[in-house]
Amino acid sequence: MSAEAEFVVTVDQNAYLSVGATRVDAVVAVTATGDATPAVPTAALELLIIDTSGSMQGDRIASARAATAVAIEQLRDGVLFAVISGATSARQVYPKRGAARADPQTRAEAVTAVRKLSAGGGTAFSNWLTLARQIAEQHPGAIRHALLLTDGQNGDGRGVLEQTIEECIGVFSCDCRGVGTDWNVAEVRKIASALLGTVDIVAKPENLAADFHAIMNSAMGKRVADVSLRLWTPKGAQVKFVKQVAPEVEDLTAKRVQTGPLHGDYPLGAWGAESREYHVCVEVPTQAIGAEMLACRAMVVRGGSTETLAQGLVRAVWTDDDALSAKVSRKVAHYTGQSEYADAVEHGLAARRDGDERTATMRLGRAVALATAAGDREKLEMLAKVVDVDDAATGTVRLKSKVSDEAEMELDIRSRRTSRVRGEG
Amino acid sequence: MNALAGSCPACAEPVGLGDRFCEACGTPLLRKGSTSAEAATKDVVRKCPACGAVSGTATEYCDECGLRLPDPADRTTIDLGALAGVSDRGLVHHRNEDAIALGRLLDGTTAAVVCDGVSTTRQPERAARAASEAALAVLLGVDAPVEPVARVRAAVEAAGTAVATLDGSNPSPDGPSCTLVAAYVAGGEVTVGWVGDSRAYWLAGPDGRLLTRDHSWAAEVVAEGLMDEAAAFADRRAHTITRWLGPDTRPDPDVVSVPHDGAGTLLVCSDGLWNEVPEAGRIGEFAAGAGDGATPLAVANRLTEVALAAGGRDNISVVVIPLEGVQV
Ligand SMILES: [Zn+2]
Ligand SMILES: [Zn+2]
Repeated sequence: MSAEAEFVVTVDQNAYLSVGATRVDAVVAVTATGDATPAVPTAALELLIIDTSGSMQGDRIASARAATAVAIEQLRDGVLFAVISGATSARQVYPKRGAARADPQTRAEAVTAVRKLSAGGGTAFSNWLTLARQIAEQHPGAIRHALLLTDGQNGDGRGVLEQTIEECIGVFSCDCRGVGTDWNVAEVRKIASALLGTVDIVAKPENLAADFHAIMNSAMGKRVADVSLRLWTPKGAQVKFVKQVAPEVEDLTAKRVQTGPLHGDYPLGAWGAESREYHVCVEVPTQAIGAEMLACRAMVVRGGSTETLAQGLVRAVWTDDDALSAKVSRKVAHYTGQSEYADAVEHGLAARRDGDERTATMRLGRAVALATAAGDREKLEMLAKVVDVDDAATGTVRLKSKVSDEAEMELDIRSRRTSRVRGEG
Repeated sequence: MNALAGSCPACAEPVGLGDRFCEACGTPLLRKGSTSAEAATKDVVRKCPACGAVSGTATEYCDECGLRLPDPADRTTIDLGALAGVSDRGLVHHRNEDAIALGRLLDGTTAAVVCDGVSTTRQPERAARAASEAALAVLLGVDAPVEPVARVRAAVEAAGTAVATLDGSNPSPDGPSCTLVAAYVAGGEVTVGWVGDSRAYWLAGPDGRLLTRDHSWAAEVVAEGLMDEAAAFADRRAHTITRWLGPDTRPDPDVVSVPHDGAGTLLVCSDGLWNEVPEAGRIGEFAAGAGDGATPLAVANRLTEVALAAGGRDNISVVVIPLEGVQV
């Protein structure tokens, strides 16, 4: 038995290409299975960043205190942790400096300190993230994770947040939660995307505790820090895009770090016992009928090392049999639809906010059609709060005149969450 | 010492019937070859024919341009002079999942095995290679029963065990599986055992006669009189095999033994040949087309080319054994 996760890579694709074709699509699933019991863990650092700006007064700060206490209770013995309160500036709530090692006494002390949190002041994400980074930098090699809770819009000057996020990349990962409906999805998503985390809305403060519980559960389950997806492609080939497609859509294309003449790495962050899937699209030089090519070798590597933990092969075989080349892998088709859905929702809602009703109607209609084709009830229910559907199959819709902020934000945030599909087996 | 069979080709000392080595100088008196043995010798240099890059041994693909490197098993040619075998990937499949093994003792005793991996199982080529090797070892071994039918049965049994134990003690149901046809020619008799739809033919001039009866859906419904041959072979299920060697099957071969008078040629083959040339007579004509006095290798090459020209839709394996060279 090992405390370390074991990785498995599987590839779903139709390897057959028609004469002259150059585009190869595949869904690469990376699954880690491991010992479920928390044996001697890799050192872990957990940072809880709580918004204590003036807008948090009342229910919100009370719920945030309770939720943070729940998160603290879940820290495994031995895990390093710190609690940060964020307003215009950032301040360490517990411990006074650096990180504490979780045990019954430190957990109790932290909960006591958190109970005293009160709200006041403005919001400057950059100061919060910078303090988190400074603490995290003292623990290289640990699995470093932050949970950021906010309820408001960022007050940083232009470009300041972007610069700060840039400095945090590779130092820690960050899941973000917005409470209420006054925060800006795009802004918070920027943090979560860059720092390999998730973003979600917790509209009702009383639901915070349950959400924090889930996040900590997943954070405490991480076993391997710093995993990367390494894609080898042959000479003359090019990776057109790499998108995480499950559990959420996240474009990784721009995160490539060239690590050799024929391969580049895409950081995936820390892993527990979980499965994520990636849509890889490669452009290869076309070959004669009957030729077989390795279009991409997809490897899971430990960050900063050359050790390959697992690998899968994406192949290309040229054929003049159209029956073979015309087939599209069910997984590739499914996730292509799901990414298009996410794009349609995001662009549709942005157009709606900009007052461009024509584009909004078209794009949200397309989202309805895609969700209908995929038989996705949950997505259709969320869409129905924003548009009236005349014909679901063709995506003929009318924009609703009155839409709750909560419904709109929920649709926006959850548009990237995908449903899974079984491969061809 | 066994009865005298002749003299050692190296030192001219007399050697016994059934001896595997010359007792005087150690020269092997058994000549043999197989897909496995060929693959082992060719696996060393992996230079890409397309771009010239030299790749590591861990990959089937060129480390530079990604094109699949020629697999040593794409085409196996074994020429033992008195008999020869060819196994070819064909034009459509991406692996050669067939395997051949053939050999001959100095006394003329000859054996050949053709196995065809069942492509719905994992790594079927492993089954084909292991089964063909194991069967040949028994057919030309010293310990097997002398009586030909019993010897062939023992060979199929050994092949079945080799396949069933490929993955150690935890075989999975979709583990490597294959068909098998084994021919043993000795003492004026041709003995053929088979499991699945690989076949043996007796070719005489432009004539041909099928010695085996496929263990396949089509062959069985025809045998039971449920359908005529044309209708059965037109059915989608026609080529579904009903017996094979696999992880959890007991080998259940049919075995036939027929006397021969030293005339004609024995052909052992996989369905990659007979699917493309279904009539035995046509196979005989094509073989005869290699010309009078054509070597077994020339005939094997010709039959392979015929199957490739007809479409090469499956792996093609043929072993050609002229009976005139075999002791009667
Ligand atoms: Zn000798
Ligand atoms: Zn090459």
